Amino acid sequence: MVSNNLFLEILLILIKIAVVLGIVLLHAAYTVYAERKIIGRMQARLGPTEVGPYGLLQPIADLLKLLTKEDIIPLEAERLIFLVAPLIVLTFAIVNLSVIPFHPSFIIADVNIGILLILAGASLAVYGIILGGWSSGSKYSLLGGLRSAAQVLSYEIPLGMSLAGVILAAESFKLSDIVNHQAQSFFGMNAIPQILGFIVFLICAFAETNRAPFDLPEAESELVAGYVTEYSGFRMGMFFLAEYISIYVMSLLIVHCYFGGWTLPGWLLTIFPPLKFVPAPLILLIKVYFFVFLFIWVRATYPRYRFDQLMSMCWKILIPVSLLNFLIVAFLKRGGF
Amino acid sequence: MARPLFMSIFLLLFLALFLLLFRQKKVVYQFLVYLVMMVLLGIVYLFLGSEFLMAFQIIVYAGAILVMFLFFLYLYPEEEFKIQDMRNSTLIKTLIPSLLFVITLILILFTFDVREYEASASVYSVKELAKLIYNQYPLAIFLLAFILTYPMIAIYLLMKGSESDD
Repeated sequence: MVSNNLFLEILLILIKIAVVLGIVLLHAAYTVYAERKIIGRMQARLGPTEVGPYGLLQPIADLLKLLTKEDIIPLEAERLIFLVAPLIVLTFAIVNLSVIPFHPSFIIADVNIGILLILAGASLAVYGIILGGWSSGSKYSLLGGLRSAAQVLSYEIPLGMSLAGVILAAESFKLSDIVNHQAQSFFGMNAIPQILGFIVFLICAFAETNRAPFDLPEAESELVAGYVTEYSGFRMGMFFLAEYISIYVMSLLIVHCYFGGWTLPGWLLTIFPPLKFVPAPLILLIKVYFFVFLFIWVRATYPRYRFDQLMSMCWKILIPVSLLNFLIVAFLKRGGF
Repeated sequence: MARPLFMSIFLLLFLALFLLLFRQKKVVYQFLVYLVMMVLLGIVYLFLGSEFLMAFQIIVYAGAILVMFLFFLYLYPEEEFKIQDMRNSTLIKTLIPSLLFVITLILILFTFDVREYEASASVYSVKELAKLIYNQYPLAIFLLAFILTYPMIAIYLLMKGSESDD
């Protein structure tokens, strides 16, 4: 009886993993298409149009191309690390999805320290980039890897500190508890009372995913393609896949921590009562899509930062602001809000 | 039944990696083995029921401090330093005390009655946790805060210094 229950439990977890992976991988592939289309329109171009109707089969064509391309390993490369590095990045990007709830009753691992595990996963993923950069045996790749290490390490501090405000408000490290706390709060979301924390988190999310305007580790005008320079074929594809999965992880985190996850604010439901009938996963999906769109929009709009500007913004502006946000939350909490 | 079995596997893996660490000549590979050991140690903490310690072991040690080592290693100009060709006598001198330490640690975890840490409600309540830390360990927290603030001030001063040099 016990073994049957254990077997069913394992089977259920495996099914959940398969569902989440399937949905996220499909989303990651089509986000590339959406990015090319949206940026194309913003730059008065059409984007992909040739493969399938409206270019909808372009991601599949890209995938086939990447899988069938020759896997080139440079002579100067440290072979073992060079081969493993993309896997490290991809694995930790996927692992983060396991502690994020997609519905009140749909989560792979409902652990008490969900937020801390995501921070741990993010801090380990950077090894893949640094090691990939070093093992390529190229100066461009090495510099890209080092830039990435400095950037991610610096931005993890304000990211963690802005999350401290959210944790303090909800008095829990569990993402589902954080969402429930926001649903019961006056504003219905953390983004209003913790506007400073939200802005800091949003900026750090761009830096953590190495996206424009913080894409210095792979700045093509300075470092060819940074740590990806020597990679080709499906290994290069793994780096890009990890980047797009990270965008979804960060968007989900923003939505869960600052925009009430799958819930809508009480005041909004009072103004538009029919919104009560919108299913929870749809609410979550729309909010996440908005932030994914924001990632793309920002890439098309802002120029890249200089490295010293990036560092100085983190240490001189974001860290003090996130500390201030934490103090404000502490005072609000003390005042009974 | 499954918990002690998995813990034994992880501890044996820990020992195997420890021996592998001494077999590596390239410092980068030594570093990588060490990194995996740090993550494994985190997993052992998890088996002992201390989730917080596991998270901080990975975030602070594996995620931040070891990255600094790697950074230093890549920027260090002398390539000879990066390949350690130890003599046998030196290797034995280094290996024996470290091995004794690791085996003692593993023996303690196996033979003594190391009970699973019983997570009380205070562990998962931020308010209770804060009460415990600030009322019972204020000095330790003060020292920790001072130690953590010190490098931040040092970095700021270094940046100011480099700006004025420019």
